[in-house]
Amino acid sequence: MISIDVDPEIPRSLRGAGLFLNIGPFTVRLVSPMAEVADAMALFYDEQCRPGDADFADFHIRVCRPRNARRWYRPQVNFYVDDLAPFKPLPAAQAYPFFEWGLNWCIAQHAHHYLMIHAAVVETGGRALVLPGAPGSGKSTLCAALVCRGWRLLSDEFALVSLADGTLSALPRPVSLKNESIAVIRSFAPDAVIGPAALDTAKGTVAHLKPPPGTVQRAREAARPAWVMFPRYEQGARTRLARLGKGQTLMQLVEDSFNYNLLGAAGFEAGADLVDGSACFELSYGDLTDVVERLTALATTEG
Amino acid sequence: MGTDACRATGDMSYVYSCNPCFIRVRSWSDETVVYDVRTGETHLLGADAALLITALLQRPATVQELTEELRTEIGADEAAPVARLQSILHVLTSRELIQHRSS
Repeated sequence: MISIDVDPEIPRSLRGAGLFLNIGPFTVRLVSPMAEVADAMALFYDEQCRPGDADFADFHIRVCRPRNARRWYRPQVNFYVDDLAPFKPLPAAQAYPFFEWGLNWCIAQHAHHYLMIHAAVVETGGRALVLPGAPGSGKSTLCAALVCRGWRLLSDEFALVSLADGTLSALPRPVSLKNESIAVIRSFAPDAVIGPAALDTAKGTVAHLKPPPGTVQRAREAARPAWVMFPRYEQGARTRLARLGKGQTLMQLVEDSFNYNLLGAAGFEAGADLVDGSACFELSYGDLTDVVERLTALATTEG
Repeated sequence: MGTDACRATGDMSYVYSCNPCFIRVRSWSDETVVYDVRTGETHLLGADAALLITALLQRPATVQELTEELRTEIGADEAAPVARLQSILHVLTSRELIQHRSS
């Protein structure tokens, strides 16, 4: 059980003018009277938040209980952005994950100055490893393991490819872990800060890993893509890297993109530049220690 | 004259072209990806289709002209090149990546 030392200014701001969060290129203004949200902000975003009186936010988010009977009876929580509720309510115990899922939606809906790909991104030596993959592919677990072994976290959800220069922007946020991967990462990195688990969500049991120290301070450092690897966890499998053609890789990235179809030729060029500058692979693995060592050695060798 | 023969004759008399304003092309080794600016569709092409697109981006050509120009690259046996080119041209036309007109 993690003991959270909550700065009283955090719940006060959340209940009042709002808590402003600097999350990579975005500013979020969050309002919420819920104690569990305040606790999560204190645990995960302590380096990124400031009390509300700033003049601008990209997303104005409110996470709160409904005003009807579901406020008390089988309590629920609502997510609002700009006072609109794009989702149905969830159980109140899922208030913090709801914030993260809702923020994902906000970014995917609006950040069209990037080509956005559903991928984890980590970096070492200024070079980024992009790990695209559908839910269940193991990308978040692998991402978590890599950042626990010295790779810098850019994001566990979005590859934000700048349309201007092709670099990848950082979006430092807690890494979402699901089901068995929670215990796996606890075992892999006993000193890692993992928050309380939310049970019975649509994705099963969900918990979040706080990015290691130093991640937030480097949030403005973009990275050049160097590798694109499609991960696939297979129990008992040996770590295996299989070269993938750049054309095939681009076609798969198109499928994994949130907004390729909106960007027109600019999206095509950004995606093509991404694969052009990257070595592309399919990555299968069954042992986290081994795959992290292999990838770290690969990065060191190619450096 | 049967339908198939008419189609074959029609193909031989067409002049094919590819408008560079309509597509963007990126190639790596033996893979080529083409983006259709008009539709937003993205296509992964094999080596032979990529050769045809590249040739037609240079200038319009008939099947016969393309066969002569690309015989070495496509490398099919004597009997195959024309039929093979017609097949690829048909696919590229159906995807609206290339256009044709009667000569």
